[in-house]
Amino acid sequence: MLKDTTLAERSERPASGALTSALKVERLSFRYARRREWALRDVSFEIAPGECVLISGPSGGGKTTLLRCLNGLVPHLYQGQYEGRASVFGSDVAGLAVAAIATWVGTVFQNPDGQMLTSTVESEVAFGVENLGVPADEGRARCEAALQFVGITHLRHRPVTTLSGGEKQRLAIAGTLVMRSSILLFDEPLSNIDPGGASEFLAHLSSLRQAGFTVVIVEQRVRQVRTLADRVIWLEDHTVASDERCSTTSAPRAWLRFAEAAGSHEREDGLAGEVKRRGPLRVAPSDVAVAFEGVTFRYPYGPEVLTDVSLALEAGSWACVIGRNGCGKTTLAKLTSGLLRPTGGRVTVGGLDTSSHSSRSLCGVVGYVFQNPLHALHASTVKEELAFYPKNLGWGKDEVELSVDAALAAVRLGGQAHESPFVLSGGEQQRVAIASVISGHPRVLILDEPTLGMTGPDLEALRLFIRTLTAQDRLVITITHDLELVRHSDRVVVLSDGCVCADGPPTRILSDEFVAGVFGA
Amino acid sequence: MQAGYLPRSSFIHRLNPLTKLVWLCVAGSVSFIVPNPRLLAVMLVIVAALAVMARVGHPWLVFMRAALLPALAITVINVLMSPYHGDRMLFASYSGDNRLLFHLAWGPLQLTVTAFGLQKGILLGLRWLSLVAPAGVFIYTTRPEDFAAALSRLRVPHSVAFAAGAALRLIPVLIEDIVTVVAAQRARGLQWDRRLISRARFLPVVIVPLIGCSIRRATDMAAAMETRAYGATAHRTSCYPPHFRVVDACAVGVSLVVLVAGILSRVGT
Repeated sequence: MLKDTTLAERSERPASGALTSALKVERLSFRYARRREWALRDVSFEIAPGECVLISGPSGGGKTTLLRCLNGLVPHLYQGQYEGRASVFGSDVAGLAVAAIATWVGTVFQNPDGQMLTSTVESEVAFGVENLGVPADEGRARCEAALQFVGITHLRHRPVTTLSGGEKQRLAIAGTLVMRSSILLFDEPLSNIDPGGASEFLAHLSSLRQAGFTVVIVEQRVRQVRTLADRVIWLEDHTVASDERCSTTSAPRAWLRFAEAAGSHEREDGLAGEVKRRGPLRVAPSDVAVAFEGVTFRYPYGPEVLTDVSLALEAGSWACVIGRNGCGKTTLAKLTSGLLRPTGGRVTVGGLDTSSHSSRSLCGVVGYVFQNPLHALHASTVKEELAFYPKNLGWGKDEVELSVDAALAAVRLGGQAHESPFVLSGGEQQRVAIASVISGHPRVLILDEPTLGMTGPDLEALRLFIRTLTAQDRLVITITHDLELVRHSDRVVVLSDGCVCADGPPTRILSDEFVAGVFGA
Repeated sequence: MQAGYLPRSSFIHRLNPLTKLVWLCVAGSVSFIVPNPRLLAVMLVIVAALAVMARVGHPWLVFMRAALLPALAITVINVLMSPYHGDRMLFASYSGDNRLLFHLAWGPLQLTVTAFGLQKGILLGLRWLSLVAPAGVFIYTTRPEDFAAALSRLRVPHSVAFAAGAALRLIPVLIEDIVTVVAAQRARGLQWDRRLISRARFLPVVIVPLIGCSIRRATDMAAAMETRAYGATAHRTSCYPPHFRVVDACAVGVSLVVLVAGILSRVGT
């Protein structure tokens, strides 16, 4: 609920007759400069003030582009061939400056870090009002109101870098509220935050709705947002495939379509419904691929990140590591790959002690796919990118060739083999990054947030792919916030405050109370 | 290495960024004016004391350790490059006689180490250190946006001031990116050994992803700025401007006195 009246009196809407729509898109098509395919084709819809609309669909279907058309980044920042019309409260987006649209339409971007423009909470919130030239007194009052509304007044002097994902997101919301925009756009708000942050966000979303904001959410995790949305617009193949109202009694067809696409992945029945054990877990000591024995770790002069972690992961299984942001998941992965060495205890990988073996001798055993594919992609073609790892391992030319082709086929990128990895879409880049590690045939594969930006069919493919690896007696470790993915693994390791606080099959770990306990949701 | 603002509670953190900017300029100029290695050492000690008072002593030491390598390079190069022309030198400040301490002639290559050359090398090395030392304290104690606001107060156009602030803010982000890229490539078997060939190979493997990340970051930032009304008006306001207090006036006063003293000491010699 609104706690302060200053926010309630939002910016004047432009007067142009009777306005029934907050946002209106008429026969809109857009093609990015130097791209062959259209990102949007003949899209039309209308959103009434106060409505909450979910825009969903498979990745690469034009969702983000559509959002950019609504806040004016297309055609002002991202240029290209633009046809049709998008309007905000009756004014043509193409005829307004983005800064002017900003007072009506606030945008919260997908990457919480990328949209932070200053270093502390207070100055970050004030950035928008300062740009508008609002007098300092009034500006401060607006900042106060916005901070209070999103409930982060107590964090006002904190550096932005120390905030959790959920807190950053609230800060981003506050940063748009100060400009008194009455329409809020969210780009994949759930993809970068842990499950605790996600439920925080959903609670917040419902208070935004009650306060009368028009809310447009682009999100692939339909199940979680669905209960709050009035309407679901399904974008597929760059155009609107369906546009339906949600009723409380029946799920919209778009949602069913999604469930179908995702296989059993998102079906209504409870979390335990789909989990099948794939044979008994083997526990013979020779099968242990990765072992942590009383491992502690701290960065030089930093606090202890891991305090006493003991763990044995078997070859031929799929383990998921979950936990809040900053609980030490990535540190665990780096210790496994030998990029970091424990300050106490012992880490062994395939029988090799990481402290006494060079990272070179370990890198053939452990493959590590980093979260952001851009941190790894460097070659001029996809094929060269995939050959990088096996070449570094000193393989012969024919071996490299064979393994690259196999990896390309595994991620279904055979057609793009000779393209530059930099012209591919985000989802394709993610797959290239995974393939570029698979090509080295590591016995242990670590995937850090592999499902970012993936939808139903891609997820299904990823799962099948992980299963083929485990069938070859490899160990797969995924670090993820995606509890839907976790459900299909063999084993879940929950990290909290640098310790393993739970470890077991997903059926047991993913009971609602337990997850709630870990994530404080 | 920490390379950005460190929030701590200290009077130096609370000083107006303009004050700190004045101090930074004064300290920089004085380290160029002062011709005496001992005075430079004293200046370094004072800056170290300030760093400790600002509770950034440890990160400052790490910062200085990184600055030590260029300092050594400057010293060594100057020591080896000072030719011996008898006992006359340009600067009157070198003490004692100029003596030839070491001489090596190997074909056209002449290496000479002279007493004055040694003094000059040490002086220039120390000068570099005392030039960067205050910058470390400044970076650790000043919020980039306050720095930008301070520049705006000096009538610097806001776009320039914002860019300067953003550059300061992005240094630690860039360092983090480099660390991650190197880790990602090492995980795929990249070795950075001492052979020159593999170093040449190493560079594109790290720099290309770094450029990719930076372009993405720049685009994201531009989008975030535009949707938050950047450039909507020429009369940008500041909601939480840093205050200029009595302490600031005193600090600026002290800085100016030091500057004048430095100039006078030079004129005196």
